[in-house]
Amino acid sequence: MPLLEVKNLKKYFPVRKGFFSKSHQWIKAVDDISFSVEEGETLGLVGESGCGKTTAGRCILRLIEPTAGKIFFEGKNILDFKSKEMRALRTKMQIVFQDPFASLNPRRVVLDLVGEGLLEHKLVKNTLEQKEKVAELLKRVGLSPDILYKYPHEFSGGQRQRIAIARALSLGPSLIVCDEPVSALDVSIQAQIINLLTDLQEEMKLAYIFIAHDLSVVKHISKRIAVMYLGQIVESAPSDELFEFPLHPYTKALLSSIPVPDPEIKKQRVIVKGELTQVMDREKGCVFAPRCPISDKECFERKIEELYVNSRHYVKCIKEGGIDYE
Amino acid sequence: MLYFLKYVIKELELKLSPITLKRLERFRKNSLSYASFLILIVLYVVSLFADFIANDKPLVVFYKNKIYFPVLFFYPGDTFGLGKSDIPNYKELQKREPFREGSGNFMIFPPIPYGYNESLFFEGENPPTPPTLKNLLGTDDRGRDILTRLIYGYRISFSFALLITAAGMIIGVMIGALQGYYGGVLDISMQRFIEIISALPFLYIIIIISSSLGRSFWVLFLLFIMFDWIGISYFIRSEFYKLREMPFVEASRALGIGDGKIMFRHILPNALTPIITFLPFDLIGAIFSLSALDFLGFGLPPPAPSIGELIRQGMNNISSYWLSLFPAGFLFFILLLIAFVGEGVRSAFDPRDYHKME
Amino acid sequence: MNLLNIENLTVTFSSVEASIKAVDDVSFGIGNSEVVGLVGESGCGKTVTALSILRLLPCPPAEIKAKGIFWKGRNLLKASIEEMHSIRGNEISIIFQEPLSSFNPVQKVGKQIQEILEVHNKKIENGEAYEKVIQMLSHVGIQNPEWAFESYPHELSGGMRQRAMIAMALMNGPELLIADEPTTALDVTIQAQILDLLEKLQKERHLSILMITHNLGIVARIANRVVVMYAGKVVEDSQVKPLFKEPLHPYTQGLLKSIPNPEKKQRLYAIPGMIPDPANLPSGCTFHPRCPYVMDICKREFPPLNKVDDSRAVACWLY
Repeated sequence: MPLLEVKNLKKYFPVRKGFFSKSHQWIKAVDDISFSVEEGETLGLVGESGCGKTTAGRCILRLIEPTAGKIFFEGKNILDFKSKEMRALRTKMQIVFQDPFASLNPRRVVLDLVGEGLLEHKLVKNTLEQKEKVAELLKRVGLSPDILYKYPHEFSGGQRQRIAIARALSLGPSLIVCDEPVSALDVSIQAQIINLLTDLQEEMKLAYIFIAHDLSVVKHISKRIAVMYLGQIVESAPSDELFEFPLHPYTKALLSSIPVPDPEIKKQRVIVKGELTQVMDREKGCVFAPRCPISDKECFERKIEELYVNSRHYVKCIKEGGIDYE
Repeated sequence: MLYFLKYVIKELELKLSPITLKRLERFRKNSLSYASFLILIVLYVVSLFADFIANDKPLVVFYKNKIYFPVLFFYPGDTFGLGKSDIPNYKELQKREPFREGSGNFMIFPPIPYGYNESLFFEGENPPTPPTLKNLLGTDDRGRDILTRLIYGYRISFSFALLITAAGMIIGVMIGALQGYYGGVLDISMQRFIEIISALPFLYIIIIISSSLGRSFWVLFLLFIMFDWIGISYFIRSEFYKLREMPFVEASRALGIGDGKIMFRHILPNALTPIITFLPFDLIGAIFSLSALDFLGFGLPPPAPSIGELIRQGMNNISSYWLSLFPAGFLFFILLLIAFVGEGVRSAFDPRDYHKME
Repeated sequence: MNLLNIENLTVTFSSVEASIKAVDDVSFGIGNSEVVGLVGESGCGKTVTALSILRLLPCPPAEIKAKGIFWKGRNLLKASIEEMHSIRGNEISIIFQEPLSSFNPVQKVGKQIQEILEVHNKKIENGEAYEKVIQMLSHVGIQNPEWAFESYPHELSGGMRQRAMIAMALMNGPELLIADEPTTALDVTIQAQILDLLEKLQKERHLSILMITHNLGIVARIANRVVVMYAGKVVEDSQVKPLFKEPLHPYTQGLLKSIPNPEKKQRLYAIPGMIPDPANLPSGCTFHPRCPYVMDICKREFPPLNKVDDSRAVACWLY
């Protein structure tokens, strides 16, 4: 049984036309997505800004309430949980945020930041035990326990992210949602944090939902990757397969847009037209059709279903596989 | 409730973050503000001991080998050889036989030997009397020493203003926090309510209610508080709206920390800036409003000493300049000092390097 | 002769607590029609270097010392304010990372771009200026230039704003464009579009570009030459192909190795240690605590920037 199973998750935001008018239009931030994560594995959730990956991550933790759908954690639908059960759930699911500067309260010391949850959930009996546990966690993430009484601004971005990871680990979760945890870091530090996350995963059998917009980073850490565009998963496959045999035009465009650090390679680029715009009330047709290099009339009219290429690779495109490179 | 107290004390004391320490440093460096602050504190503390500084009762009486402290305790007349139900008038007593030179009995009066309600009569002069060596600032229209009244008046108005400001701040912060954190219907309905209250004319309401309920300290206190909290709630509401979106708040929610704790532990310490910068000006407003009410005759009931009341006497006796000059001057001085402190606090919290752009 | 020559630039920031050398004795040049990539991680001084070319740093607290910053032979550090005003936006333009904060949010985009044109061409008429702006907006790839002209900055998407900023920068036909991380805030597909645009414009107008970035992929795509900075100093200065083929400086090597390569899947190489605190730099070669090839002399003295051959120079005791 998978650790986490998301079924038909939807999050719609109403577009208000006035204070009293009923909303007729919705921004479909997350539009009917489904995926699952096994214990100890990583699912990479990839897409550009506005695709809904961050919203999806927040919905899984119920930091935002989904509009519809089911989220099964350890077999139980957490959307039915009341506050007491939700509290207990917090110890099992955690999150690491993108911005290492804003995710730590500047007015609290490291001990409080990392140890807050421990006292709250009574995982330690007193402040002495709390100190010990926090020191242990800090060592786990590669930081010295001397920093217990320091403030966040005394640390660099990479160190702060480690503190945030220590905080996420404090309650002993089995799933951590990593929301672009390395996007704000320098390249050399990115590598350190990614290595840390992989090590922790092995040690503690952690499952990750790794949200990112950088495909190359995601590939290193994920077993499966789901590519999102405008609230929908347009392709989902094991990571090696996604890179070797991308099917969806958007995936191909993403892959080809990554600047490769080698001036010899002139990549074959898939050109994506125009800009991402929110289309509201999209009942039929493919979300990507307006920008797709190979879209035609049919793409705008038909209902697009998931097409299974093999048991673990599906794509939401009726034209997959025939793309002209430029 | 216990939670609240525990958190306030634990969270806001002693855990002075480096941010706070830096701000204190900057404030201290601003000599004008720092000096003003010290003067205000000293004056206030001194005024708290007003009873020992200016009083028509002596500090110590030594009578028949026993020590008495009339300034602290009340002694019936027969303690000093008067009738049992007589109230000793110590100044009179001092002139009489048992206390003449060499008798071994003596009294020690405070440096300013006048009570705030003691009418003094001078030969051939009608009150108010101009400043003399004995009455440094003169007397008012009932012959009471002005310096004494100013000291006691300062104590009352400043204490009153502090109380109002503190109570108003607490209420305003709580309401603003709830509005900003929860938003939605709570916020909108609270806003409408605030708008209605803000539309009420403060002074008129107080006048009306004072006239019907009679003037009393508590009536005034409650009325002031009813209006005072609104100002700070606007700022706190916007700070909470802004801060509740911060990732570190989300992180705490993800850890399962409850709303109340998040508000006090995480958001409030980051929202202190408007509170601290607003406080001095709130204080000025309170002192000024109280003086204005006293001036109009709707403030504290007589014979409470107050600066506003003295100024009104000054208006009624315009030729006696000391009745207008000293009380108004004193009020101006105090408010000016608070304004300096406020300015210093504001710039300590928000320093900008002003440089030339080329 | 180089279009721009920075010689021995040192920028110090002084505050009550400390004096920090953000840029330490940096020298490099940009030739005609040359794209130079200025690469380094946060805190290495690349943005400060760029801002000092146009003297956009507030002095105090910054203090600029240099042999000179020579633009077409003239030392910009000795130029008067009026001269600097006439160079900015005219001969040398700069675009920034966050187009949202570079535009005035309460003014229409078109008007702001037109302003640049009018400031440097006092005699131009309103109609003519409008035409020129529309032309430029269309040239940078904005589909509906008239609409963009009348829009406010927040009404445009990130990519369009960046295009508008590029249009604004190029209005007066500058010879050098300084681009300070122009694509960092953009999505990767939009980033590719913007880089395409810059490449196209560079070829058309024989534009020199100083491209500041921390992304070596961008540099590989668009630059002719690369200058690598670390903790305020230049550590390598090389033509682009040799740099990627055979990076000389250990820091450059480390950077290249730590980029996750989608082709290979193995544990990422991470340069050990951390970027040093600018107030507390290590002695000698600032990179020595993290260098796998550290020698004794590295701890004592900072190596000079030595030419290895015609196309490259490196500051390392290994060479």
